[in-house]
Amino acid sequence: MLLDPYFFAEQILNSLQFSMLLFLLAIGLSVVFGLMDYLNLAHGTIYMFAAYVAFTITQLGGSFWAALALAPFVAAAVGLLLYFLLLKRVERSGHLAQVLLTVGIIYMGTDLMRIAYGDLPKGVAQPEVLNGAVNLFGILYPSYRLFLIGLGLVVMIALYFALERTRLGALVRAGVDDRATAETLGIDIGKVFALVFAIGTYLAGVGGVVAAPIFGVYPGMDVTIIILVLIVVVVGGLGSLKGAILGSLLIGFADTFGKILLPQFAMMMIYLVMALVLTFRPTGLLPARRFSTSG
Amino acid sequence: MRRALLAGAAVAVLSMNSAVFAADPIKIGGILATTGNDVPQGTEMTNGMRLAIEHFGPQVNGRQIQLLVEDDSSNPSVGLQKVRKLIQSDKVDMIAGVQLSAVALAVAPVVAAAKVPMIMSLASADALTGEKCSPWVFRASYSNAQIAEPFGPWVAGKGYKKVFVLGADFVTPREFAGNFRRTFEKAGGKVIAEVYSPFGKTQDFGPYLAQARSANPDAILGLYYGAEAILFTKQYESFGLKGKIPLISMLGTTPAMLRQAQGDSAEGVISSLNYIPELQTPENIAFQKAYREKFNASASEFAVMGYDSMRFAIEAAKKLNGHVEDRVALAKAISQVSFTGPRGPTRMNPANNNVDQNIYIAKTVKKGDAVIFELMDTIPNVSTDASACKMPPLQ
Repeated sequence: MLLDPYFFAEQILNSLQFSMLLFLLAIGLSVVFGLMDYLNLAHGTIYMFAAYVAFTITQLGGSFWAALALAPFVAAAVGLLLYFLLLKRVERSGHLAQVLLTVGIIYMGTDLMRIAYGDLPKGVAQPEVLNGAVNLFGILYPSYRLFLIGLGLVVMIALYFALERTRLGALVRAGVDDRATAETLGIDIGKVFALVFAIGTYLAGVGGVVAAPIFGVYPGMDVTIIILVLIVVVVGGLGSLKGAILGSLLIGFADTFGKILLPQFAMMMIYLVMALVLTFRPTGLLPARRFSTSG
Repeated sequence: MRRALLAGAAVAVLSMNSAVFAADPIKIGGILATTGNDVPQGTEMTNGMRLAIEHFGPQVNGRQIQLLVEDDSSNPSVGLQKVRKLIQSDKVDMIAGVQLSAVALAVAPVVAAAKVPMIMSLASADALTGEKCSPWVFRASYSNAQIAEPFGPWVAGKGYKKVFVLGADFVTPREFAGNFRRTFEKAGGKVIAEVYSPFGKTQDFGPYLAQARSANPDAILGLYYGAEAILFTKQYESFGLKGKIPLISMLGTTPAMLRQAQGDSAEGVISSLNYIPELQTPENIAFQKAYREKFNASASEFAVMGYDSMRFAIEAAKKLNGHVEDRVALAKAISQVSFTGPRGPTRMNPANNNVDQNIYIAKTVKKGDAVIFELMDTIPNVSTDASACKMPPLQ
């Protein structure tokens, strides 16, 4: 079956689509961890929150595009609020405190959504214009998923240029590489943090909105996604864009092809990849310089 | 004088007993999911149970019916703890709501040893009224064989000869598929493959759907529940399979409660079920009306199974005039309950303590803005093969 080129090509598209979704969340988590040394497990909660906001917007008569335009901003605003009110307090208290706090936020977030929206999974309709399937070299592939792949690529390219070619990007990279030195050079790392956090949560919000039509909206979607995103970040390496890209591609492909080769043990494929990578590269494949074991 | 005092005291004591008796509620426990993946069904079942208490209670011979619901979080070891709590500290007289097969299998020995009758409202694993049958364990829902077996010959008869099975990896889909396969292949059909995805962990069914499509079946048998059912039908549609390869299923994949999320993707699915909300019988119309008034939603098969499981409990208590302390008599009474409910004729079969009922073949169709069930066929009075059950004596 794998030898059938159409089937194979379709699975590549499936892998890419899943990778793009993972990337949207992984990049925020990875850079926040890399830059701020902050392990924010509640990243998935923002993703879930944005999906619910998108659901509400569509219920009130708004279109999917309206939701895509608005919901990530709402998510980013809530994320920043969380940051300044809660998350900032344990910024220097070490990873354990951060994990405890953000896991608490996960529980609270899930239950709040459950109280507000109930337990039944909700649906967000795909935009009409993307409802069909496209005939790509003989494969009939859903247009919406192609849109997701396109969106991911656009974000990747935009982030690459932002990080490599803008002054802000240079500040971020400097902060990730060596925070102390960057501060002595007069860079206000605090402001850079806040901005990076905002962008990261915005992207998580975008992820939540675009994932909603495919994966549905339900309390618990935050936990499901954060586990995968953590694996992506660990495998790809902390703090780097390239690492997030590579990690999400690897896990996206491992998951999709794992499902075909070993349907019942699909989850095992991902963990296998993670175990293999960590055995040979304990800090991930392409971590930012500060985290790599070589210098 | 002394005799009069004695007589008076005796009367006083006896009337005190009946006064105490009258105030003592009949406690019925329920182990359902109020957290986790199976909450939508659990909530509907609890709603059904409460409605039944209103309709057939709220008291039996002066004794108030009290429902105590505990959460099993879809976890057998938690379920076991909660059952022990219900039996030992809450001292329930019966258990009339058990959702998960894994939980039911774990607690069956406990209820048998404690002599507390248990009426399952879902828990459809065949073994529970098969090899593991017990005079203390009753099932008001269905057995997986009961739903799947009549479907095999029906599907073959409609001309679908090659079927590809996609399901979640746990006991219900596997038993559905296994029972279906047996009768389907006997009727001349062929199951090309059975592919199962990790239960509760799969979000992207793309790879599985592509696999099924490339095998070119006449129909795909999809066996998913809850959130997975929503994702599955939506992705079935988005990959262009809807309308190209018919999707067939069993109950639970396109229930009313998931329709908002599934949208149009739920349309065109042919399922084998023990109930559809659209049944045009006086009992069902009244039931749906009452459920809608109380809960502002349409009642699916899960609500009706919760409703019926509580009804079995209450009817049995009524047979004993409320004297449920005689547990052996109570178990015997449950095994003899029979009524015409929203599902049609509903009767406990003492050979294996599973319910005998009609099986309905229905298709989801679009009526206006909504997707509803349309009845295609009724297979009346289906029971489950009791040969695997060697019922121990009731004592």
